[in-house]
Amino acid sequence: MDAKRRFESSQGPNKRPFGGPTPVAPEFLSQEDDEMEEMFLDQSMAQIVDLQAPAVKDVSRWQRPPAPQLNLSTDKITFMQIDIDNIAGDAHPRLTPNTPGPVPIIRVFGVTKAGNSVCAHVHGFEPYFWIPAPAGFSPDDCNAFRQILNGAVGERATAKARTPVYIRRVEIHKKMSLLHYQPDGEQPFLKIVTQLPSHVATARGIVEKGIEVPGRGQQTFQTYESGVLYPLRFMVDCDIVGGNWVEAPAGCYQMHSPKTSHCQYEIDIRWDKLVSHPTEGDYQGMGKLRILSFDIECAGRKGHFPEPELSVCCAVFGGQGHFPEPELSGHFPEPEQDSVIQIASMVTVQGDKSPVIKNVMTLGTCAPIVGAEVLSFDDERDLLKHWSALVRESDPDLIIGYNIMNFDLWYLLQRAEALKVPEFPFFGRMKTCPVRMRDATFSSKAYGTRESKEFTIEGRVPFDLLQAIQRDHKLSSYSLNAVSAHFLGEQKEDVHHSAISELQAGDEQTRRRLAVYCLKDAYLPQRLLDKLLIIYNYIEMARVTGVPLQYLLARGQSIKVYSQLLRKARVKNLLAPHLPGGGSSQGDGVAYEGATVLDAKAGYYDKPIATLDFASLYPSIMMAHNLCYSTLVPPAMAKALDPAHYTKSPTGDVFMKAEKVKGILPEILEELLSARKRAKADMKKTDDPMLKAVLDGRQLALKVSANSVYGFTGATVGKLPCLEISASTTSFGRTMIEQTRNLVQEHYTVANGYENNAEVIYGDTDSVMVNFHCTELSESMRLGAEAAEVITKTFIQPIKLEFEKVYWPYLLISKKRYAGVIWTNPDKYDKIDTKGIETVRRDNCLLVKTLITTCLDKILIERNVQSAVEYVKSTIADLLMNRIDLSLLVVTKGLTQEAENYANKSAHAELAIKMRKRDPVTAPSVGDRIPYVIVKAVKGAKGYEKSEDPIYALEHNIPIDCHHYLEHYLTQPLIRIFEPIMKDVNTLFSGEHTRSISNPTPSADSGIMRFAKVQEKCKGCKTPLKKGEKTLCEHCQGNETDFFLESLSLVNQLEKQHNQLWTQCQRCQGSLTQDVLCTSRDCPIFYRRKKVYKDLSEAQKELKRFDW
Amino acid sequence: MALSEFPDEEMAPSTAAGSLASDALMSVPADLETFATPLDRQTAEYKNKSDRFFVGVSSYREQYAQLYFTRLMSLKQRTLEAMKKLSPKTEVTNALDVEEGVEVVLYGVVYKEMKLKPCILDEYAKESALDSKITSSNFTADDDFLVLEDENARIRLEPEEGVLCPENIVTGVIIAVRGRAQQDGAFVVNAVAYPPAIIQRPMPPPSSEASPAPYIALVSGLEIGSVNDPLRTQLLVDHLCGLLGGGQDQELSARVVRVVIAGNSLAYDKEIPTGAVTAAQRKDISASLRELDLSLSQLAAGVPVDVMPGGWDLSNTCMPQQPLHACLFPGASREAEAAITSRNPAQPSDAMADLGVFGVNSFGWS
Repeated sequence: MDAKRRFESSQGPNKRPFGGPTPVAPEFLSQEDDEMEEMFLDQSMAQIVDLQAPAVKDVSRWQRPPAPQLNLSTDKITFMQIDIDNIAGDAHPRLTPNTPGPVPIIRVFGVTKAGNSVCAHVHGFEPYFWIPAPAGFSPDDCNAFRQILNGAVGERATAKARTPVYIRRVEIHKKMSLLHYQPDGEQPFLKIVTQLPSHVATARGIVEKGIEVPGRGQQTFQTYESGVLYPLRFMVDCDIVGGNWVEAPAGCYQMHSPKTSHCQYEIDIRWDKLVSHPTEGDYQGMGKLRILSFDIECAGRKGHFPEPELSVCCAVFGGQGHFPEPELSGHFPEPEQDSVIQIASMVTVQGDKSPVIKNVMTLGTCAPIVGAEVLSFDDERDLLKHWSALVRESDPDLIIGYNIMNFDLWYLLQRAEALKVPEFPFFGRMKTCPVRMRDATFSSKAYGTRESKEFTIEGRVPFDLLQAIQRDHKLSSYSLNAVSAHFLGEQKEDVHHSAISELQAGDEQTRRRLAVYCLKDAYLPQRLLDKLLIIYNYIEMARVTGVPLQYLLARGQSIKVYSQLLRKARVKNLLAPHLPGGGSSQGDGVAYEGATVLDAKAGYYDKPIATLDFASLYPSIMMAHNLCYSTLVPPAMAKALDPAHYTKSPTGDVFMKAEKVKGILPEILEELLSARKRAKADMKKTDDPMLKAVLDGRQLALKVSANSVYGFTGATVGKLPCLEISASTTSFGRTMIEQTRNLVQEHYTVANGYENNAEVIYGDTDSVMVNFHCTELSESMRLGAEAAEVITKTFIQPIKLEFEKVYWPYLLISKKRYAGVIWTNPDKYDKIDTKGIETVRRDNCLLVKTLITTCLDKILIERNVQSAVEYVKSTIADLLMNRIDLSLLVVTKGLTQEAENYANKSAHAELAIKMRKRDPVTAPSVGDRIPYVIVKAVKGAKGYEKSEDPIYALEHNIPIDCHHYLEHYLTQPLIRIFEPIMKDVNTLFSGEHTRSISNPTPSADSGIMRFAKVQEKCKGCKTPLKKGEKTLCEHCQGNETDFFLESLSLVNQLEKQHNQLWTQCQRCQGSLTQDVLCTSRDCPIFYRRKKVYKDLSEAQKELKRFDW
Repeated sequence: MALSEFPDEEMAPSTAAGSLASDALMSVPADLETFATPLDRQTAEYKNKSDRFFVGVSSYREQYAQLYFTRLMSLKQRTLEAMKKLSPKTEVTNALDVEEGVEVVLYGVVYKEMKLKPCILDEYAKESALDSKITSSNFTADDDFLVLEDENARIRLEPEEGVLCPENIVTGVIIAVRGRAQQDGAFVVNAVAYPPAIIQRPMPPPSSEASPAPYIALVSGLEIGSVNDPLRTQLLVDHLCGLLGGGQDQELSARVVRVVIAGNSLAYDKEIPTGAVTAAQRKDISASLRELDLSLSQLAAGVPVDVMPGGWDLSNTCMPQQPLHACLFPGASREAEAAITSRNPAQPSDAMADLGVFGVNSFGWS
């Protein structure tokens, strides 16, 4: 869907602030607001619309397998939960008796092994937080304190949060603070139990500011675990992790009646009766999740302003009596005006190969499609109603799609509102709750700031593939086309939205064409999901870190570590303090020294370079030195301690040794890493591909989690930052790298009986490159392995230096820029590895990428520098002679805001303005990705003034500014690569091959050429032809055959290309008898098609100059 | 055009239609009268209608879809009739209306999905630099499969054992298949029918009068410039010109009203090189062309000649191939301007309509 581009953010992940493993920073969503909103929805939505399912013929084919009748006293319900939320509701008369007022109820949604959906209302779990007990506080003071606090909360509670009681109880427990070494052991803490989750925040505010303690006057308190989301609190206390199997034992639950949800089973249960199964044995499998993948198409209206049919269409379908004023800023569909014309949906049961439901709903008639159900509607409202019914009836657990958060779902909700279809938003699992939407800003150091919509669809998890892929993969473009080309190896058809309106306005056949396209787009997210094993990886990540599935996409890394920390702390009787500032984005900017990079001895190494890596560097440092919140000793206290009991890090921070007190971060890490080892071992044992995928997802999740612990402590805007820990970790890392370098250079010397003196040529964060100066690959491997073993012994367990690979040859350009061929066994190289070299940069044209990749290939694998030089020269010559394929020169940038608003002039924004002047209808609008080429302009023109639409440049014969490409795109990368190898790099850019420059004549119908008279010239010698001569002058006539052959050869070549390009487009669209419509500007073929058409027309004209 | 201008009487072959014995050449001429009578080459009315295949300036705007569609439409009926003979009762339907499990007949264009087929997108694939070195000349694989496409939709074919082997079929063929759709949407084929050759118009009866029926000589694959012995071509030319053999042979030659050289006059490796033509290549091609020119000049002196382009002749790649340019054989064109026609495939002559193609149109589909 073209219109989606509007939101596909072009900004990549932010630059990493430090070298090495990224200190993963947190994300912020105002959590308290979250709770507030959740809580009272049920009440405000009580007057809900009558949910009459529209008259769909036979909805049973959409439904889940029928749910067997259960015997409450003998049958248990075991299900895999995927979503947990909470509401405020009336207390259950039997499960939580004697509780006045609204109480929090937790809802657990899931699916049984047989594929039946379950909604469990969990009762009786009370929200709470902790504060340290004031000195001498006795159990008798509890009630008095409760009353004071209760009153204070009551004063502040908003109208919505009014309850008869605010603070239910105050209890005294023996606990310890997580932060700092606690030589005195357990201390009394007050557990403050509140009525509703939102009261926690209010009470926290009060005690932090100061409160009257009976008999002791005004006191302020540090609170503990007061910022934990209520559902997460429940999960931690019940040992439930995201996506695991839970059980309602027989006799412990009741059927909820009357049913309030669309789930097949709806039960009530007390929270302490719910059994959580650890993900082991039978319980590590995956439930039969139902996944709905969908895509919508909308009519783009403004692109066709003058056409009267469309305005009728708008009036009829869009429910708008008037035709809107044309705007010049683009023609992105607006939900107020533009109708939703098609929705394709596909429901797949996790693990099954083919979908159980595949249908497309269309506005207006549509010819049938094989293998898919077509539902046609005359009224857009019916279309929306039916789709909503489809979701309810098919009851998916996950709703996926590509950019659904920022486009499809948003658009549907807006559109339903504009059309006044009140029943549309009720496609969540609760009968009385509409789907809700709000703006959210997600900001994280690791992922950058992104604005998006957040949806609450009770019981179903909306999962946007775009977000998942943006998080997990660095790509040059995130358009669905680029993503599917990257992962599935296919180009996707891209129909421009003006074409969409045309197809819609046509007959049932053209709408069918559109429906087929729409279905494909709905299917792609599902295929990506399967191909990338996203379900497995995300569920396993949820299980490992213990957070609900939804948090993984909507929140950042820190909640995952925090969840693990809370679980571990609970077992150890520790309490995590709630740090002020945590949860807001202030206090940023406190920096500490990052990883070290040893100086690079740049050059081209023809000898094998052994690479020694620290395995899981930061986790192993934290484990080795017992770095933790609970082992950190405040400087004042350190003086009183025996130095033998603690470790002082290079930054001067003091941590207790493991013998005295074992930190919980090291323990979490140990568990993660040993679990990863187990998962890897299990993976080898099993033959079941499903289980293998699960285990692989798990080991990956474990690895990522282990690495993010360090980042959690360093995230200054995080939940629980502790710079002493992160700074100490990196400082240990720095000394270790230096120590390794020194050890290698001291040990491997001629003096010690080795053949040569070893030399460390480069080191970065967790790896050291060693040149043993031996010529044999196997010898270098042996020495590398030996060195790793010897040096490992000098470090504390479990720090381990590993020998993994040899680079041979190795081209070291500078810090963080190198390329080499990796060998892990002496017989065959693995691949070329590059870092910091322009092979993957997104903002470059393809030419650079191809050129650099080929050069590296020639230098490193063929080891033929001369041929690389030749290649560069021939490419430069081709560039200057304008023989380079235009698609290789296209640079693409996203227009992130209105072109006029760019503070600095930039090429793509200038082009957007220029294109709008030419034709406001087809000009790009915000969110579009703008492809451009750099063309020749008047002398002294600024770089940004030289951008031009590639198609326009082609059609008007505007010459490419090849020197600009040479100077701005090619020179620097080439110099970097060739400098270490060649004596004089400048020979690449000067000499024979740069002397022929092609300067195409501007086409005849533009500019000054309109005044010029074209005189035919001889094809052979360029002499102006005399009267009567058509092709050749009298002197060249004798060689007519030769000239003819040349012209013919060119035509033939182009005809072949023409054929290849179009047949590929046919294959891609999947039809032989229908015309290709695709105009995807992300696809290189599109430009080549245009180019070959133009070249061919010209070549043919030349050929026809010969007399026939 | 008569076959009469032999400069040297001594060398002129004996004629006397049919009356001479086969060893006449080796014996003393019996009758000088007959000997001196020249044979007249027969002539026939000739109209070159190939103009409709001559493309002036091609727009290159048309997509292939039109071609497939038109072909499907024109062959559909015949193919279905062929299927009707196999299975008269089975209902014909289209891919959209196939019901699961019901035996029906479908028709359409075959598309063969071949994983190994070279694809222009491969150039852009990542790490192509390393992978492209392993290229294969075999583009078929075991998991190739067939898809049938009619006017509206595609359906995947799953032929029963021995019915329709993917190896034996190429994309673009129009077929009709009988079978049942499965639950997964694939169509299990148990019988297949191809469009039969069109019924030919009957040959006109030979004109009974004095002159016997005229012949058109069809020649192809001269492959001049290949390692072949040039004598072959020379013998052919001589034979067609009536310079060889006895009276019977010459009489036969005299009945040839026209020679059609139906493609591949130059050897395969003389195909136009892709990329810029190098001097060496040009020289090579020119040499072969001169040789061809010479032969054609000789031939054209004796009999009207049509030259048609073939798969690797110096014509263009796109269909329909355009006539070979006269400048390729300047000698022959000068020699007998009216006699040599370089032309497109179709050849209607003397009440007989025939389509001569080299067969280029049956390969090269993708």
